[in-house]
Amino acid sequence: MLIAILGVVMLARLPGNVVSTQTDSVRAHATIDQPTPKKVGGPDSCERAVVFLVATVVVVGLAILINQKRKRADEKWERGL
Amino acid sequence: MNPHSSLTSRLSVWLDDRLPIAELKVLLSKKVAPQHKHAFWYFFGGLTLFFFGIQIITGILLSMYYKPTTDQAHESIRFITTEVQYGWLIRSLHAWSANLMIGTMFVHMFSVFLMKAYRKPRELMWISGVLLMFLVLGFGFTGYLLPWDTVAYFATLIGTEIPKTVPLIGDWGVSLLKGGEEVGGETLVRMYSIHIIVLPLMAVVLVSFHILLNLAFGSSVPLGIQDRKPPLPFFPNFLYRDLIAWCIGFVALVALAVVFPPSLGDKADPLASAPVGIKPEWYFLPLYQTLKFAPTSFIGVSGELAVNGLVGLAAALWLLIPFLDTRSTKGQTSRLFTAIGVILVLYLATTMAIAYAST
Repeated sequence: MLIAILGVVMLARLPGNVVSTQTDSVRAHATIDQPTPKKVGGPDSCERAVVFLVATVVVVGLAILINQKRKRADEKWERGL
Repeated sequence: MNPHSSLTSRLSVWLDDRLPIAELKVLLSKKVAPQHKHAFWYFFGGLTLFFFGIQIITGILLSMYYKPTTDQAHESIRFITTEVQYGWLIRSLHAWSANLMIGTMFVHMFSVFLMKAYRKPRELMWISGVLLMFLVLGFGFTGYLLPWDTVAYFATLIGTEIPKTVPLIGDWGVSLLKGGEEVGGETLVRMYSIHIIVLPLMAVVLVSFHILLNLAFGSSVPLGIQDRKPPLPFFPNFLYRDLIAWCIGFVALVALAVVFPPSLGDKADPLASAPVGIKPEWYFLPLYQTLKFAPTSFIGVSGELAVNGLVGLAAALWLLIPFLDTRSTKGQTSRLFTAIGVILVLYLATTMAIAYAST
């Protein structure tokens, strides 16, 4: 689920795909006149820390919920033994 | 009457009439997970499947931006890593889930081997599992070239030469992999095509077959287990345990992906000399080290051919283990095969460590 959300964000940035039409040599000439594209979404340490914290909190929360459901299912099963 | 429940029940009836859901429910309700002191190892099969699922999702996302040409492959990976929103994370998750999938797959395979879970009637489960291992290693090999950086290029150059030693079909195998005399644009397109179409199609068929057999026969109980508790229903009791294991696996994956994102070397230059100390991925290190151990010539044949022949023979025997271990099939303990498994694990770990430590 988390990866799917990230995927939507990833695919949302469709415009400005600099590799779609240019070869290396064309781009080498093009960069003389054009500014370097602004770096977007690079793995700086702050972004990495936020990704890790959000993923951990969401997944640990999910695991706690699943564990509660597991306990209830186990109790129900043990009563039926 | 609640219109929603009415709609749900009508949809359920509609589906029941058109799909074998009732039979599937009966099959699932019968599936149980044995409880004993070695039951922990059952989680590794599910974890392998979980990481395979992540491979598919992240692989599809990467394929939206990746361009399999020698001009653009390296640049498109750089673009994914530095320009696309969370592209670095998706690439990192793809790379790390591949490593974790291979790791959990090996743990699963050796736990199945040592618990003799391949014995009758699960021979086909073992065979499909071993074939899946070959496919997974194929995924690793074909995916390695795709960034088109220096290390990937020269590692693939060495890797694609390995089939050359095979008599009669060796040269044909090399040209099939490379698509020409050299590792170049044709090789990249072939590797990409095999990586995203051929291997996934084969893997989906084999994984479905493997899971279907698991549903039909359930998990095996090791021989000689005395302190067995009543088996746990798979749905939902064991599935909840599996999901918790997947959550733990996912947190470990995100931690690795975030802390150690894969690097991207310089763009491959076929005219440059190979970098010093180039090594394959960790799961190919035992083969790499074994080739390094091999003498130049061995009883009249080249050392490389002898090692490749022995590895091929070992792989064939590994596939046929359920038919070779006749004692386990009869319900008797087979210490010989346990010893083979232990020696093999020790050999793989030792050669991996030696290759990793060598310069």
